[in-house]
Amino acid sequence: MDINLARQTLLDAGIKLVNEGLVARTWGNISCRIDENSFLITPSGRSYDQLTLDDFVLVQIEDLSYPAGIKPSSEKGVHAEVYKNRPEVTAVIHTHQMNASTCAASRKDVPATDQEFKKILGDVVRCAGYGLPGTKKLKLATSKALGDSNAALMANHGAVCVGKTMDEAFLVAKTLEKKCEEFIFSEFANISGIKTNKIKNIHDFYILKKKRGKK
Amino acid sequence: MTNTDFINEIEKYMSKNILSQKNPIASIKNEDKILITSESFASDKSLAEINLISGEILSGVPNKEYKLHLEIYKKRPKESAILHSALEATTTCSIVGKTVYPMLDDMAQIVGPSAKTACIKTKTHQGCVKNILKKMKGRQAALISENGAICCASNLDDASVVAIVLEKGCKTAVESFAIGGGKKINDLECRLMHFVYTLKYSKQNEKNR
Ligand SMILES: [Zn+2]
Repeated sequence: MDINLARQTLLDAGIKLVNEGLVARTWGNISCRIDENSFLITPSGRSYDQLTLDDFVLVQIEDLSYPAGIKPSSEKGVHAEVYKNRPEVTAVIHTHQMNASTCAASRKDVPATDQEFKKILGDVVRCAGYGLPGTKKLKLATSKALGDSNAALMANHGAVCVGKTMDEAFLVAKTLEKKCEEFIFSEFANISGIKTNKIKNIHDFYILKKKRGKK
Repeated sequence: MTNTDFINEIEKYMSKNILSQKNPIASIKNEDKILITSESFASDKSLAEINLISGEILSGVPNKEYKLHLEIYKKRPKESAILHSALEATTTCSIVGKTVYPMLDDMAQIVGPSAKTACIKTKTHQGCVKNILKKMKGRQAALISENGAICCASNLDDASVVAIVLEKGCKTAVESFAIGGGKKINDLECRLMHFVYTLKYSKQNEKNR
């Protein structure tokens, strides 16, 4: 992708993701492949609403090197690993989106429940093993969990979503959030016998069980 | 920060439910004074000013919680803003009263290795204030039994980040319970993440001065 087009794509995607509530403040990061050797990524520690076209950083896939100046996101390794293993991927979105994070905290795979899930996310969204942020362990575990699917959960952290275009990766992130929410409510119905789509019911159940001393 | 700016921020946090709609409690430190919401802030947007050293009320009628805020500022000189979070999951966890351990890296980094619950009845009592300070040690927040959480940071925006991240941590603890339970992050790794984050952040602040 042309680098100027990539800058605009990242700027627009950042705003879109903030508006959808999939990323906030300085959390999460997004990137676009430039060619087989490099990708452009959001900078470290900067709010999406304050980014300008010049703030994105060009990172080399092979050695994660980047030009002097603005520091790229500390999760650049996760992005590089995806680009290395998946030649067809041109956009990577890493989010700390709420429902996916809840599933990631339980370190559970989320199975497909309908055609929409299968079409956009695949048969299952796997949860990667835990690795501290910014470590080799995290990038390798994430890449392994992603395999050839479009999304993976990162244990106790968030999610990574990929696509052949930024729009596709965005749709993956959005669908993942919806499907993780459905998963939470359906699992809740299984353990509590309460069919609901109200978070308040889960909170009330939690208070009841925990107050009774259930660990 | 001017009084008007502070009031605007409080109203913003009220609209996001970070602060209670009925009894919003927030304060900021400005040199040797603190500015805190009054008892009647929800209806008249009034503030009170207190001398940080002597504890003398210089103007207004401060929220009953002001002595707790004074003690936090005295014992933790790096803090310059305190918010009493009334967010939903935070309140749920404060009702349960058990320690919330990080199940997300964010919480370990920003809040600390856990959020403990301080059991109090009257926050103005010296013993209760001590209890809250003890529970907050090495952390940016403590849950207050049945009453949300106290969140602090070196500025108001960061205090709101602590409240938001704590809420996410509590929400994860509550909602992962519905899918069979969340996995806690190892305590040592939580402490390491909090240490690295605090160090990185203080360096960043130093650089930006
Ligand atoms: Zn992340």
